[in-house]
Amino acid sequence: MTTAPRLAVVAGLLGGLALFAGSPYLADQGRVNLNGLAADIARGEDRIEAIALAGWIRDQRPNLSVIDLRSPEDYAAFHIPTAVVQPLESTLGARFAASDTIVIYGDGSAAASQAWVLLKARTRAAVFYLRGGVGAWLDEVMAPTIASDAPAAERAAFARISELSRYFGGAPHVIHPGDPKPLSRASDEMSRAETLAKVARMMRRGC
Amino acid sequence: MSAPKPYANPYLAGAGLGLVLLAAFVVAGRGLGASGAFIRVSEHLRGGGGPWFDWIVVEIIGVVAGGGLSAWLAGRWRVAVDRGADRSASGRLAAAAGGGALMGAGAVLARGCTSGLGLTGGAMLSVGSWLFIAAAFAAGYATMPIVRRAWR
Amino acid sequence: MIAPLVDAGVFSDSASLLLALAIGVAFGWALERAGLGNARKLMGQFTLTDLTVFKVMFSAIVTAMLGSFWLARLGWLDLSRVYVPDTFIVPQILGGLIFGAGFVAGGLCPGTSCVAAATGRLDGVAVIAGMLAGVTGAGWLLPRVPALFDATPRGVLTLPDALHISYGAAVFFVVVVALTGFRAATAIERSRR
Repeated sequence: MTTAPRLAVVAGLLGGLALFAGSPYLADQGRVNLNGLAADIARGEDRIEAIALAGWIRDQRPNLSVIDLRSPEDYAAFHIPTAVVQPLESTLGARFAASDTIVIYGDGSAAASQAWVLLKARTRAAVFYLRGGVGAWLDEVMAPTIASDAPAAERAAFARISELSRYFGGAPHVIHPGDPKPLSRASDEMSRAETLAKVARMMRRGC
Repeated sequence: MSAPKPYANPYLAGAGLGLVLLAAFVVAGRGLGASGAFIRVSEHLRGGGGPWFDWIVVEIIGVVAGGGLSAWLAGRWRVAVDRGADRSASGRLAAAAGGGALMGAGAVLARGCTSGLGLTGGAMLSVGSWLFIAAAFAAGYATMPIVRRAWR
Repeated sequence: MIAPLVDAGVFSDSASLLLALAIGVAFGWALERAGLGNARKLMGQFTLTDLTVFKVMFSAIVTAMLGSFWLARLGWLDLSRVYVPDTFIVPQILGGLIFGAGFVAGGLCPGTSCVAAATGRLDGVAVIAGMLAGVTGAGWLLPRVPALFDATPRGVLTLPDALHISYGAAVFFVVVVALTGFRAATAIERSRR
């Protein structure tokens, strides 16, 4: 039995060298796994929908951090519940644990998705950006809609969405055929004025 | 009929197994598993959704094929009930089923078994996996005196 | 191009299933070659007469651990993209205890029961049947007891993170434990002969 003892010597050497080898994680080595990032983007695993985020917040998903990348003024006007405001630079400098889940969001422009790449390249934590930004939260969580003639399966899904919406103080409603069509937005990006207007409408609704 | 071939050196077999596990890391970014396949099959039998040929189910099919082929080539294939010298076959089979049920329950609670947690979690230095390994071995040694007669 | 290869676009999903099959075949082959498809040999571990289970398991862990550490250190494997089983402290300790008792009662573990059944052993088939029942029952019951089932979750928690030591130090520690264990195993087996 001469092979096994030799294997033991090799294992001992490799183990001993490991003590002085430094971190095995690419992020600590300053290296980036580009094909891995590309695979996440292609699979849509870089982003999360507003309703899904709402579920995570309500269910108190462990180690969840929601980070608002906008200005302090925008944050003060309205922010997603439990979110903290932190500009990109200091977010990139923060330390996160491997078991953390980080959700970053902005105003719906490309900034959050770009921030995703930068953040994911330097942390082991799970990172997602909110698809559609704060506007998607205002639309899909705070004011979700369903057509009055929608099929049963859609109505069942809407029941669950409505429950989540009401938890956050939102107002789900049904759209009837005769209702005026909402103005469609050319892109997800919402201007500051639009956000403020939306929030103002939302505030006026309460009791 | 020639005698069955002797077993391989456990350290070499283990190192080979480790290379297989490493190949799974490199190729698929995941490790080995077994109890997961049982869970998938159970879900399907109860009408659950999802594809039948999930990664872990396909892997287990491979385990069956590989194990059977190795035994056959080594002259170790035979229908039998491995048991202690003075144990009856039916007693052994009943204990096997009972032990299997306990393992199934333990694996669901722990989210894995000796392959998924022991080998994969062990190699990846997962704290919970190492706790599982320690607990499983401890319980094994604690339980053996009770069933010792079955294995003489 | 950095491993895992499925994230590098090298393998399609169906190709990775073929690899799952190949990996499984090698897994089953190695287990059978070591004799772990035989319940009597497996149980020798717990009567301290035949410590093959420990030798095979820890040789495998050390090999894969050293291999993955060094491939990652060289920048060829993205270790953060390799699946690490989540840590649930209480469920995994309790589950481990229940599993260990079942292992000794049944004589085979889930993976080795498949090998045993594949080699004609009916006790392997019995363990498989029992496992399906156990998994079904626990799968129904445990989610109804979240206070136990979901207790003490810690997500991805590695020994280096938990003990605040470097990954390499944890690797070294595991190697030392394994090699010491192998020495002890030889001594124990010799004393029982």
